[in-house]
Amino acid sequence: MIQVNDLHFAYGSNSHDTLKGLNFQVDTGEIFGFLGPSGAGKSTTQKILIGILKNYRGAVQVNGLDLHHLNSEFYESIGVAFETPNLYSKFTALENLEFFAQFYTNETRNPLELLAAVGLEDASETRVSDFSKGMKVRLNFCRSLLNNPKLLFLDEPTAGLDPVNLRKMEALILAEKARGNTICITTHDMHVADTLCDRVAFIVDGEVSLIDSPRDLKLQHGERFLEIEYRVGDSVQTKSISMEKLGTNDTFQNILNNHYVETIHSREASLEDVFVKTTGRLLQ
Amino acid sequence: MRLLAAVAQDIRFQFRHGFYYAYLVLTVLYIITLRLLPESLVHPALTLILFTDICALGFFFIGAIVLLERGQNLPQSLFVTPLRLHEYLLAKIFSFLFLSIASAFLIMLGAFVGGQDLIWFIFGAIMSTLIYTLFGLVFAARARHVNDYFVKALGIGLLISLPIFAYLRLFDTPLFYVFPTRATLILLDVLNVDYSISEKLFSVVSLVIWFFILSGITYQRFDKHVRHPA
Repeated sequence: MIQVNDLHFAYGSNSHDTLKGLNFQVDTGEIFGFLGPSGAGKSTTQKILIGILKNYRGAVQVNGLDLHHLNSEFYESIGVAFETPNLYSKFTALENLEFFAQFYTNETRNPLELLAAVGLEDASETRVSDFSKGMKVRLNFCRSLLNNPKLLFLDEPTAGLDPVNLRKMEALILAEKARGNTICITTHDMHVADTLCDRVAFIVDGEVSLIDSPRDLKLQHGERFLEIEYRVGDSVQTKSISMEKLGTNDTFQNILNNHYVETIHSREASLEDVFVKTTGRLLQ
Repeated sequence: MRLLAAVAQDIRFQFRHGFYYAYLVLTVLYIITLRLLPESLVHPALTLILFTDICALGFFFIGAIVLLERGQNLPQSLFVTPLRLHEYLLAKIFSFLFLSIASAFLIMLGAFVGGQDLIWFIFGAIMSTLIYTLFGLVFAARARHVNDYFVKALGIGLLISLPIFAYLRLFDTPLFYVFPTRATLILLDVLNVDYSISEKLFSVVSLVIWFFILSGITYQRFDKHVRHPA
């Protein structure tokens, strides 16, 4: 669906490149995440993929189209939700969706059904200026789905959402994947990347340092230990034990047989741990 | 279809942000002023009022509209839909033309003004609205804030208004014929003064040339600074 080779980009008259030779591909039907700290080049990459930034160097193909030869047809089949919600503030949620729906020649989704899917059905006649940030993010997401896009670009799609709506949003994104659509997510939230993405690309200082599935990354870079908490008299003790041949590990067996066990956790690395370990940088 | 949708939305946007109320108040004030003037002063005053209404107000208001849109990050969301840049710009121009001409028409009706040169006058009013809207768009394309825009717009607005001195018979130079304002003032003044056909034709050609030059610059600047900002 997306093929990027040796992508370079510099803003304005800057002598140094913001993107320094990116190479990656996104397959049809997958959720691909760009993970990195602020200013790493994630949003710049996304802006190139959606045709906003021109004058890049390298080859970028989206849905078989070389983005140097972009036309308005391209936008019939993509959906974009920017990090900063961009909506008509003096118009209602429904008016916003109905307006944007008019630009597409393909059949569009029912705005009221989209609003209901994100829990905004009761706010359809409310002006956007009266929306909270989380409501604007959800409405922004609805707008990106209006034209049944085959390719969806979501920039920080869960920013500002409460836990309930966060889970609802994650379910909706996975539902889009289930429809066979391809989704590119830009985020610095490792939980979002871990939960949703089939593969993630770590971007730091305009370079992709690693691309793999979150599960494989965690397995490759995690420590195969488990941590066990157990009672000895009135005190609680903790031990880290190798997960190799646990069934014959004397220490582990001794604790299980002779003590009251309070908790057992495997110590697999989080995606954030892997990011820090492989890039030497923090995500925030 | 996309263009119609964009024009209708821009009209509603202007209405909801109070531009129609502002124009209505100003139009009523202009009409009251014209009705209070002695008959001999109505026509020259009308020319200056229409010049202010169509040119100066349009110039400032279109910038305010564009910057209000940008404040809501709207261009970004519009340019990732199939809406094309020329459709976006035409929507701005047509919607503002509607507001400006409606206001000019009401002022003329309110002042009971008419005449045999009405066609020249209407053409002048429409072309002038288009040109000063485009002037506003050219400067709004790169402005970051309303204050930034108004500072730039005030400077260029005063500069292109210099031919008013010729209209008021204070100072004249052939150089003024290069300014679109000269042509505007002639065509808005045809109900008042009997201009020669060559002067009227010159004004029409001048405004048409300015229209095409400014259209090209506007498109280029919006493409560079609004649709593909980098």
